[in-house]
Amino acid sequence: MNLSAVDDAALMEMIAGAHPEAGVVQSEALGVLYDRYGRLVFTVAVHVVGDRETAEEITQDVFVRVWEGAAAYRAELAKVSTWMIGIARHRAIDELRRRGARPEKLRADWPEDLGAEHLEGLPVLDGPEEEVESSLERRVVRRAVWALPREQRMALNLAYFKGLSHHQMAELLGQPLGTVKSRVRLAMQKLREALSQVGSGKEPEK
Amino acid sequence: MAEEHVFDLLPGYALGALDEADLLRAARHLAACPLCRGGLEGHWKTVDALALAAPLQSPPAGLKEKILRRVEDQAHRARPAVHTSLPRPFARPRTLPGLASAALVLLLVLLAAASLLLWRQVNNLRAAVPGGPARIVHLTGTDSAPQSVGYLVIFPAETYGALVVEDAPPLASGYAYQLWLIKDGARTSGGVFSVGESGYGTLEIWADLPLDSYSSFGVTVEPEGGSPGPTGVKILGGGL
Repeated sequence: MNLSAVDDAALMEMIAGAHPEAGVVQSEALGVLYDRYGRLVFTVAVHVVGDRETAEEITQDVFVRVWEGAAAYRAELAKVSTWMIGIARHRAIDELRRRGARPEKLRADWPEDLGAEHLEGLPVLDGPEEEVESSLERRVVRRAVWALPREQRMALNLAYFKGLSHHQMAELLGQPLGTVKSRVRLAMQKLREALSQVGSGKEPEK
Repeated sequence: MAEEHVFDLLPGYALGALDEADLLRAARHLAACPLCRGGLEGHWKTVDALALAAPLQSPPAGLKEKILRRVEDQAHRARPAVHTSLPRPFARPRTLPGLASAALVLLLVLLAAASLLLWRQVNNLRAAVPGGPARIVHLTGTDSAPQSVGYLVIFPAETYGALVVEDAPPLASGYAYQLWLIKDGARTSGGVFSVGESGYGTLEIWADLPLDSYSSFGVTVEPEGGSPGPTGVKILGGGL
């Protein structure tokens, strides 16, 4: 059976051993999920913990957790990709805290990138069914992030990739707490507006 | 609703960036406000999308094969045992909680402290207003965990509730607690949760049916991620 065209939820059923298709090797289904999301999981882990070796361990842990928890996965609660990225992010932030990483040592800037002007031709990571949608979403999200004022982008980075609270961010940045809260709120609102246009099938205006 | 809405806190809530006071305020309000819970949904989606904005990194060659080898080894050794027997589930906890999904992980972390507050508030409300809207279902420890206690907060005809557990044995790596909602002998999962070293844990419950339509409730030890039906040691039980 060619699993490359099978959707994520069905792959999860296969991994859980509950799919009616006979003869499917469960690890093959996990391998397909890795092909689709392994790079994204690794990317999130790298940007949280800052080193590839730990990120590799975290990526392994994420897929083992998917393997172990496939039977408990509930598609109505979250997409498979969302679930996996969430596991990766929390596992990585937990590792960061376990190390006792001090906020002042954390990198505040959004991870280095080519910027919004170089976002064409991004690699396709997902299955063919989701290729168009996910590529569009990726472009939209990255443009929207890079369109934010730098201070707002930094606040998002510290909250999302470093797991800092408002108070910790304010201390790190030397800014009033209210200012930090406003930056986070405004950044999220702008991104939310930009993402809402993905669902409408059109790219937002630049 | 007498309390002010918390729209301004929702972005930070979804990101997990709220400090304690704001977190408690937001969680307490969200527990009772469908409007703000609806607003939170859009912020969850935004947070989910943020991963896409990070510059992509290529994992090392051979990582996929490592993972597949690891799970296949595990399948040969542990997986059948996990579903048939649960040896020595009680032990010192790992640093990571065992939860069913990332969405639940974040939700639980953010709402953990607030659930106890909610329970206390509801208890206070009941004391002040006999016959008030909330009901507390006391769960008592079984012979496997006689010191454990649980409090389930439910509301008439509401599918939402909260569970607070105290003095539950911390679990070994690979195990979690699972709440069961029991009706006509059928057991439905009410969610998976972990406890800290003190044995304290909480669970936000979103059931398919109103919680007061279930006749009884139980908590068992299950493999991390939960089970389709109870398979492990029961530590708490109680009924309406």
